[in-house]
Amino acid sequence: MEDIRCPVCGETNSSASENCKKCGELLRQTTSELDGAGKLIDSGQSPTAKKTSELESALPAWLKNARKGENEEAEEEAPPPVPAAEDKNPPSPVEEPETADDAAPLDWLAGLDDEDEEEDEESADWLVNLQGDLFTEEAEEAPPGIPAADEPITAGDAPRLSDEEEEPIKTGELPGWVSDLQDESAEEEAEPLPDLFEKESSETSQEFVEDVGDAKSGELPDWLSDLSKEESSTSPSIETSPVQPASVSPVDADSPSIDPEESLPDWMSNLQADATTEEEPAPPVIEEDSQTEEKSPLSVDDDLPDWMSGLQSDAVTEEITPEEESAPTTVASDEDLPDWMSDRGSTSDAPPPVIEEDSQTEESPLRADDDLPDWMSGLQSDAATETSPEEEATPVVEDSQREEPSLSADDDLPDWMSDIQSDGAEEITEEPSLDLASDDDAPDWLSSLPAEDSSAEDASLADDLSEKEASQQESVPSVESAVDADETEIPLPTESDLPDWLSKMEKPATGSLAEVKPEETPAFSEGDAPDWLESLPSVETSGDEEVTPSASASSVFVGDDVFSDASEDDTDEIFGIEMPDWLSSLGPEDADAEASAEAEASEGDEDLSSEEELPSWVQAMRPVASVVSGSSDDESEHIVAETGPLAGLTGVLPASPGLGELSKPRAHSIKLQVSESQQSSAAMLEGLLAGEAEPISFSAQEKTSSIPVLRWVIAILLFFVVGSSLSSQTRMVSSPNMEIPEIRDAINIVNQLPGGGSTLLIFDYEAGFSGEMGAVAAPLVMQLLSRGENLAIISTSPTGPVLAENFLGEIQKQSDYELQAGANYRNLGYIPGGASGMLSFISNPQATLHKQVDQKSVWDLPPLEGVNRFSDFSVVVILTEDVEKGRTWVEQSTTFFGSIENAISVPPILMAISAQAEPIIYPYYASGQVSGLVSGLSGGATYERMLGQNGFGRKYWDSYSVGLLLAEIMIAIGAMTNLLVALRARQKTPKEEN
Amino acid sequence: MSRFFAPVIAIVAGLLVLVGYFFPTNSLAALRMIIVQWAVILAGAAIFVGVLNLLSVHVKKIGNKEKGRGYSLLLIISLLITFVLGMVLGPNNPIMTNIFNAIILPVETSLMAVMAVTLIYAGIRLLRHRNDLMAIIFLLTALVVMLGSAPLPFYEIPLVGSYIRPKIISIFASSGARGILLGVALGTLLTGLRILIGADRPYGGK
Repeated sequence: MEDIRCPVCGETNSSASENCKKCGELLRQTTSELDGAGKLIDSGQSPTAKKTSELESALPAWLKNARKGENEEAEEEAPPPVPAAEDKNPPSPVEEPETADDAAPLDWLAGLDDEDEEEDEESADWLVNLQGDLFTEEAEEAPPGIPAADEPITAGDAPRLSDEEEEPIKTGELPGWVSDLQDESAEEEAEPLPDLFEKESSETSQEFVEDVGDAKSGELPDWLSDLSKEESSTSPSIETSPVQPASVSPVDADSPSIDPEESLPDWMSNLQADATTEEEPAPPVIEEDSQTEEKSPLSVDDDLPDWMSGLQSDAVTEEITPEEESAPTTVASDEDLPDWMSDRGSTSDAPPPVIEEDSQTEESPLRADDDLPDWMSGLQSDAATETSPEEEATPVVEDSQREEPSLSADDDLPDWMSDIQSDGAEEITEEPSLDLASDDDAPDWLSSLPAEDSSAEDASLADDLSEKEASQQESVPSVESAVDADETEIPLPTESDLPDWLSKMEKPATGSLAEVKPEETPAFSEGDAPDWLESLPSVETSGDEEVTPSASASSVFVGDDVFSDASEDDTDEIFGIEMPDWLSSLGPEDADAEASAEAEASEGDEDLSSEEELPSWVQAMRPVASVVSGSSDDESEHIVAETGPLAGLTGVLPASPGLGELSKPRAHSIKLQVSESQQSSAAMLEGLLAGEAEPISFSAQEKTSSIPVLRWVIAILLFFVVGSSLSSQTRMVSSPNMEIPEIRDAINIVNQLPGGGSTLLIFDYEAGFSGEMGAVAAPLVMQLLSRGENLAIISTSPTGPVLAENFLGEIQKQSDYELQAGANYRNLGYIPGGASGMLSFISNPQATLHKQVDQKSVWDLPPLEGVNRFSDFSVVVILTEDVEKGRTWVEQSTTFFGSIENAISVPPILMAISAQAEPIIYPYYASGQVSGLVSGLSGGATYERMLGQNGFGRKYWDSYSVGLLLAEIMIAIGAMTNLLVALRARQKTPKEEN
Repeated sequence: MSRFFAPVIAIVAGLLVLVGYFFPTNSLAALRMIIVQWAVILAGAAIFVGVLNLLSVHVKKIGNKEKGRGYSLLLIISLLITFVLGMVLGPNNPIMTNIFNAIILPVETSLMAVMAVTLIYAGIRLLRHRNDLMAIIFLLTALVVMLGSAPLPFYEIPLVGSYIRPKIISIFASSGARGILLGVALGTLLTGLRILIGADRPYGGK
């Protein structure tokens, strides 16, 4: 199985094991340690909230170590001893465990995954040197076969130091070279470098200075210590911090507690010491964070760029005596120091700038060619070509060049830096723009720089610096940001102390570049500009030569020809303003003439001036004049912008109050212009709308209404004919002589009655049929009476008993029979319940009708004596015009009699019905349920004819026949007429439709 | 509660009466008679309730001042007078007979006379609105029957009265009538069975 190497201690472990058997750290940094981890979070899912404590195990080793180191350092009172700068060998193993934790903050640098060996060699040498102490264990345990340089550095793993490399510098420790510098440096306390990136109170900065001064002097090389001395004697050193990540922040709780003595590199501490020994240690130009913050970044950040350290060294050169200058030279001669730094120390009279750095190895980052940025290396090379102060630094430069090939490039080391080195009287801040925030705020080391040197080289350095900054704008973004934040806080050196190029620089303009303050000492003067600055294209600045943005677009990147020789204004622009030089120097050439004139006129308008300093890429976005210009041809409306970002454009709103000239707006006609077609369409629409408002006339529909005249005519005719016939008693119509069987049967049944029996007459017809029913039932009842039958009258209709009384009266009038109630007939009255009453009467007549006469039951009185059941009646005569009542009587009576009293004869049922009920009742006759049937007036008449009687039938027969004939005629004629009319109307409708 | 007992009572009563027809025992006959008499009494009470409902409707109509409230007032007055006289004098009293003979009998008789005129007028106008074959056949049949019912004055149309009309009535009319009667009987039987099984509840309840 493949073994796994512990990322912390380097111990080889088996692949099956999870933790290192030696240090106990996790061998594999996996997310499975987290709950629910190991799964990728799908889109839409919210990650599982974890506590920080749970994630401890998942932290990389370097981070753990960093955090541990910070905690330990906070607890320790005395910082661990800073390894000597001369000790280039890897630290002792005893120190390794201690330094291993301390170097945890540096592990983040070591954890950078860089598989390119060449790049590792180039860039990480100085870095590796810083981390030499941290990785001694790894170096020992590393496979011998693989050199440290060749070993790939993975994330989370500290690179293994090669044999040649020093141990990495841990947190709180100065790099070796720095520590070496410190050893050789003077005992003077170096002023803390101004922190370019962090704001700090003056008090804290002072504390920082003191702390830095406590660093062991033996750690810094001599030249650095000299530099620091000079720095402290001249001006307060600018507290600078090395190049740090942008996230540099005040010291956190987790930040390692750094011993002030150990945190600062020697050269920085020397710089601070020099700064503090001045008459009036100036407050730090730049407000910085607490000294702890300064310590931490500086101590934590081992990668103080060389140029920064160079700045410090240059600042110190003013104070450094020639003897002292030799110190850095001596130091520079050492292999640890970069050439430029050694040159700086040898030539500069200023005290060495206070440089706060961790102890560095002798192999300073500056010596490594890969470390120095190009512009710094260029500065080195350019510095080598300068005057005698520069020549003195030549050997240093040469040394540095040998040792640091990258620095030999002319374009690496800014000229101003090389000038600083050569002159030995210049103080260059790490951030060129920081130094010149204000003269009053210039650090001591900067102010201590000899003015004569600065005057000669300010211009050249400024030019070079602007060029280098322009080319390396991407490499120092953090620096610029820090510059922007701290420009007002960086103390500027005095004019006497400033190098020429710095002295030529004016106070940085917070607003416009056009603001040229003559009272401000420019950092550079043209005469003093180094060659490399002179070689740069001239930059047009405000005032004398001011660069202002123009209306025309310009390229984002400006060529070298844009830059001109640095002037005082240029230097001011470069170093004193907020905007970096590469940004401020960019500008279209076309607007220079206009902008310059405008800038003079609007000096007080800071906003406008600031707007003029648009970079080229912004200017490229400006609208083109041809596009912006309006369509109006009125020249009065054309407003040409004279200032601002829209300068030169026409048709824009003026920025000044009042929006330009007030002019009368153009008059527009309010009359609507309508074409002929539109007018016609509008008229058409109007007509449609008007038509909608008008009511629609509806044609009256012909409705078929009843003709009341015809009804009157019919009524009159009928009344006349029937009445006349009835009154005349003419016998125009013969009696019906037809033989009707049902009438014959009825006659026969009545004739067969024994006589003296009781006949049940059921009067169930309405009053309106009394005329017909009288004529129909009269002959039958008269025959019954002739037979001596007693009559029992009942009715299931409320009006039946009364009708029965009227009927019998009529009968009595027409016949000679005397009808007497209670003698020969008994009116039993009304039976409610309809069919139930009929059934009840049929079932038990006495129970159904409880009637008493003279306190006797009628059933005991004549004519109902002997009648106890329904079957005791001799005959049942049903007089009705209603089909339902007739049916019900028939059905109930026959069913009851048929079911119960089969042996008992069922009384015959005779029915005298209206002509309208004959079709429905006749089947009952045909079925034998009804024994006889007399229907209608014709039946009555027939019945009378058959009996030879002359009753209502014969009387009404003639009028009935005449009336019926008249009806027949009217119906026939009328129907025919209407039929023809309808047909005719139907024929007309298709014709009209067609 | 009523939802259970009402159907039970109706079903029991109907079954008793029906069974009494098939098994005419004395007990069942007596029980049937009792139930029928109860129905007669309830029918009489229903008429009285109907009269009271009539009164309330017309009184409400008068109270709401609806159209025709005058006739409602006349009706109520006539009702009360007749009721009082009948209760006091009796239904066979000559006064009551005179009221009947003077008011009820002429009114209903007159309505029957007007119906004659209306039927003639309808016969005349029948073909104007429905001039189709069935309307013509109907009208011709009516004329034939009318002709056969009464002979013409001074002339009797042969076969119309003696043959055509009797055949029409005995064959066509009777056949149609019997068909109607059978349908009615079957419907009545099915309605009775639905009431007996509780499917229909004309007495109310669900």
